[in-house]
Amino acid sequence: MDDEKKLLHELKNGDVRAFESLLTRYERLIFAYLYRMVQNRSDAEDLTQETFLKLYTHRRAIDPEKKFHAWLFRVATTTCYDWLRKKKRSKELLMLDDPEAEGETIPDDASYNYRERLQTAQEMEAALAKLNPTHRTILLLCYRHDLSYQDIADTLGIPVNTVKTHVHRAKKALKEKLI
Amino acid sequence: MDSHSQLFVGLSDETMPSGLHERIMHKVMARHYAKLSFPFFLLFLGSTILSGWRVWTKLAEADFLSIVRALDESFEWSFSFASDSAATVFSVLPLYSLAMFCINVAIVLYLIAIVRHWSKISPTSIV
Repeated sequence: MDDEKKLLHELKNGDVRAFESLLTRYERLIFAYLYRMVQNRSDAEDLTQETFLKLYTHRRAIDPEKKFHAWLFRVATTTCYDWLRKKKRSKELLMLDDPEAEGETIPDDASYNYRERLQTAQEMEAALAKLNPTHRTILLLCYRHDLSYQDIADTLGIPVNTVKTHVHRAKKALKEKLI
Repeated sequence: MDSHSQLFVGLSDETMPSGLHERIMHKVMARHYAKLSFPFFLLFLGSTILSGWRVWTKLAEADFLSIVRALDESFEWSFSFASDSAATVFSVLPLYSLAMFCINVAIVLYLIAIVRHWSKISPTSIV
């Protein structure tokens, strides 16, 4: 049993020290993700708190045999979307499970040559901020946090083919923002 | 690594807000201890209600309002009045009942205060 699985089993039994170990391991990752999602440190801080409190409250729902980071990103994403809905910052959020997108297969290696434009980190941050939350979520999970399509599908509760379609659209949207 | 991955790798890591880890742990500890102390809270709450009921019935039996009125009419600033008043009150209301009620109220308020203190993170908390 690896270290993380052991911690997850201990957390399920209500061990607060196991929770703190997992918090130490993932807090930076989750904060960075939520910060890029909401573009505000204070809001990201609140959402990070809420995400980890949900983790503790729903610890019995954790399956140590499954990928924990995907589950944690799912909690963070749901928390963030709920918050965005409350704030009415986005009208597009519920479009994640787009029935038209399902079945539309997009080659994984679809890429653009705008890397040659030597985008700076600030340009990237600005472009990301301009994307809608769905595209931002998909790109961050896929390229920043290296989640597989299957993990993203599990995280967002949508089919893998829909994820591929969203990735393609998100890349296209990002390209438009960067040009 | 494709071109998109390279673009995202260039993004800086956000610095963690100071004290966030501690605030999360405080709130988790509050939940942890609130759950552990809940049976004790119920126990003391029940005890407070019972001792409060006992105090109330004793006061009602002795027609405490008329005693208070009589003491009010004969009120004077003196040690003898104070000791006579205390003796009158404790003749109808046993000291241990009153003490038990006050101790129970204090413990219940203390438990509530502890949980509220641990839960307090920030005024902007949305939890």
